[in-house]
Amino acid sequence: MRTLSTAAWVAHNLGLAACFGGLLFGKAALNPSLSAIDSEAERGKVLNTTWNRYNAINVASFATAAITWFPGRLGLSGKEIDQQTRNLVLAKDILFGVGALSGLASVIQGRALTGQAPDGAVPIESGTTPASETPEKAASLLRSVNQLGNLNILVTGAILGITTVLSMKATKSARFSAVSRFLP
Amino acid sequence: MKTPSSIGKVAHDIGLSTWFGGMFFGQLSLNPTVSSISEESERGRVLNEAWARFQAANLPAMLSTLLGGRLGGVREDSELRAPGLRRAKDVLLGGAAFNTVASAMLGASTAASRGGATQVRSGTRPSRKTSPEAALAMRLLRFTGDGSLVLLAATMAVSALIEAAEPKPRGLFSRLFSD
Repeated sequence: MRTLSTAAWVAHNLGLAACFGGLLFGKAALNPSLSAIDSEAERGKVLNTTWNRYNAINVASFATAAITWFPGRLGLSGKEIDQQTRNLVLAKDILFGVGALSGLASVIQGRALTGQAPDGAVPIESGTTPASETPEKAASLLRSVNQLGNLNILVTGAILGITTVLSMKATKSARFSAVSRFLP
Repeated sequence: MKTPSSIGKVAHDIGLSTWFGGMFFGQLSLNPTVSSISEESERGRVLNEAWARFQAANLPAMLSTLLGGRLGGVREDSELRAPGLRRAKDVLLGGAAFNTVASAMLGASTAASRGGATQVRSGTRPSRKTSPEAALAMRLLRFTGDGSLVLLAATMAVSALIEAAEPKPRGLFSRLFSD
């Protein structure tokens, strides 16, 4: 077994899973549940604290997935298998680029939203909806953070799907199997 | 050699990622943060509501992982590549499913006290005002929640090891009589 490549594969999959599942939990479970708190300012504080805490994990997870993808990808372009695989590899490259940019933008916008009130206690209706007391700038930041979050889920989900298809193609290909024997 | 179906494998992988990543977010990010809510009963309301919403999405993800693996041919493919690891993965996935279902049931029993407004210190620690039944459920939840996360991480690692393994050569007769 190729120890380094296999360890990278494990880290790659764990990184992608932590990003994808975490974003889904935040969007589908945390954001709508904040309305259970009476104080609108406290909703904002919990929203910002939870997301900022997870963003640190999310950045590390996405970086792990990217760091373990690109070095191996420089050696194996997908051409070893067929043209469709080559296209999927390129699509994954592009999605990693888009994911990195949208993830970074989301972290920056999230920090800016936190900075709109002490301890991030910006009054909000829920994790996705501003309240009537939300200042206009904070409301616009909340909307953009949510749109970027939706994009991140789509991108990470697409990367996961492509990763699975690529792994199936790789395990079926005799040529890839021969080439991959030289991996560390 | 029979290969797993793409839909089955994608369903298995996306389901496992949702399951693992969601538990990761909940345990590492949400559970400790609720202690910043000033009212203890509101901490319980947020926790119970968020985890219940997640379980509604997670149970289909869990089924997708298990059924995608079973019906999509992922398990048969693993058996050809690494039979020992396939058995280890079965045990780990079974353990993760057991812990997750137990967590969902314990969460529901915690939420049943005071209509979901359980008074808690944080997502994993009861407060002095927590009822004894809810406090016991929370202590057990800490164990089942951490257990799910560790077992899921191990499942993902074993899955990658299986995918990296070459199919084992089989005898002439088994190759002749299989598709």
